[in-house]
Amino acid sequence: MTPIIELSHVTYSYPNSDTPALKDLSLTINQGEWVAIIGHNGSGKSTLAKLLNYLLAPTAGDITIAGTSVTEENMWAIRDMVGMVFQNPDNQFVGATVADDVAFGLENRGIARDEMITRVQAALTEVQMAAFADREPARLSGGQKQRVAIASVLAIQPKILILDEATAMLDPKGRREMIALVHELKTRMGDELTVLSITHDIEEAASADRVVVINDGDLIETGAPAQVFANADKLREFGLAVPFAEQLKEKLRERGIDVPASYLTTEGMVDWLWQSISTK
Amino acid sequence: MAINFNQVGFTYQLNTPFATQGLHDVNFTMPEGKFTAVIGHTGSGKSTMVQHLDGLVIPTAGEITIAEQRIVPTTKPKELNKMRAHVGLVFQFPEAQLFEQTVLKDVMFGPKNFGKTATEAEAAAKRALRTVGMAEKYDERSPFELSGGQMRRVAIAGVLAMEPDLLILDEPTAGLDPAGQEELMTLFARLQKERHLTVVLITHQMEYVAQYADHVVVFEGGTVVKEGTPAKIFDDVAWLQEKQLDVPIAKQFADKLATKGVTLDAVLDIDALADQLAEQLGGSAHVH
Repeated sequence: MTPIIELSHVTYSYPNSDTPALKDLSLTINQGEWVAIIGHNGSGKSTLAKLLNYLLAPTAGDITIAGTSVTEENMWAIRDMVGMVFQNPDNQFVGATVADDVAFGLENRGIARDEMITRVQAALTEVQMAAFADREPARLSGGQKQRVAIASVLAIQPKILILDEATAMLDPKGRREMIALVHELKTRMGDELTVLSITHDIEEAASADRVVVINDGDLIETGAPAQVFANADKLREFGLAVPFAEQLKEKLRERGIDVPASYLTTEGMVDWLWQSISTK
Repeated sequence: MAINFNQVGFTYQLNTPFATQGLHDVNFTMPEGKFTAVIGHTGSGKSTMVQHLDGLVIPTAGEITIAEQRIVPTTKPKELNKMRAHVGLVFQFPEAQLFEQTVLKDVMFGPKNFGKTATEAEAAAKRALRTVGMAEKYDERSPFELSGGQMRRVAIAGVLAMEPDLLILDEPTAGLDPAGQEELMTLFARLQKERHLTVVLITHQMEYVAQYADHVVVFEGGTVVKEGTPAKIFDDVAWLQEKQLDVPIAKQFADKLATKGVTLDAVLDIDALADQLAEQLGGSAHVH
């Protein structure tokens, strides 16, 4: 396991703010990992994302991406490695057509035209939007827009894809499709792609290899989804959603039922219930 | 304010080569003083319908009745000013509409615009800000220095300050964290009960529909395809899936159990589910 993102004692304070948005945060993410960062609004998750590609510079501490220090002089090298998709797809469209939009980042980097055409096509195919190459971005659905935004990032061939609440504005279908797309990308690209998803969506977080909980600028916990989601009280304390199976377990416990202490997925809970009921 | 749609149609850019149909043959009734949820996938016509409730657009066919007001294709937007004073519309991401220098001034804008004096507007604004849980210390702050959740609440206070009888909410909790979502929905449910408001909620979140709605209207392809209680709407799972709509998680869960042979009476929320399961598991049911 090779570390790809390393944060060491990182603190960030916004100008004119008394309390830091991130406090002395240390975290290592390995190459090829899919990590979900969860925390309530204003917890510091998005600040963390912005520090990773030098949209913000830390007040204290060090960040390295694939061994390169995140500093002003390395900024462009860093941004080639770290691609970001934001919450509102309408805020990041610049091109008149879908293909132009995906080409924008490549043009900025002075990629040769032939290479550019190949890469745009490949990136759009990757997100199943090749058929929309000549369409106007404004006329796409929210889910389609976000897929194009991912294509724009993939065209740069980054090592790290950051999704900053990228599914928050989508309807349930769009959200599920996005999560499925990230699964596909991960399956195909394996360790070549590291995914960092900042999210409130429990389903999205549960898809990750590892979950990091941030609350008011502090790193509270990091662990496998099963480990983090098993502690319903703690999740609630930090303003986070509790998976349905865990909520149901709590409700049954209140009703005097002995339920398993370990984390159960929805399927796991269904199995446990029918087995318990059928042996009554 | 009861709302009735009778054969309502709306065509964008009517009588031009760009004419596109937004709504057609829309019929429904939203009962006065009740919580009505409007569901349907993206592009089904929900938001176009909502724009009619505030007179933002005038139907190109049919007839709408909102309380005493009748709206037909020949109605002039100006005639609707009186009605509009009773309708509060919370758009998606309403914080995008904040513009004033202070929180208090921003919330006062609506009442002043509808003819209230500065003193009256200030009193209404302060009441509304406290209702949404914004403490007095924020009154003189710039709305742009607040967190996303607080900005959302200030924007909603701006609507409540006009003391509407009809409150229309278009995905009011989108983008908020779970605790923020819960707080807002609890607030709307409380307001609806205390002030006997007519609430129209446009949402993709079926948990809210199951939990709060008295009445549900389902849109697809620019028209209403079903109308009824949540229990009636969620009864036909195959039909909902065909319409690309979700089923509340508690019901999905009960349906999964049913495939394993554990049958329960119809449930839409987690408490009803837990009650029935506890009974089958031999615990003490109905503990609240």
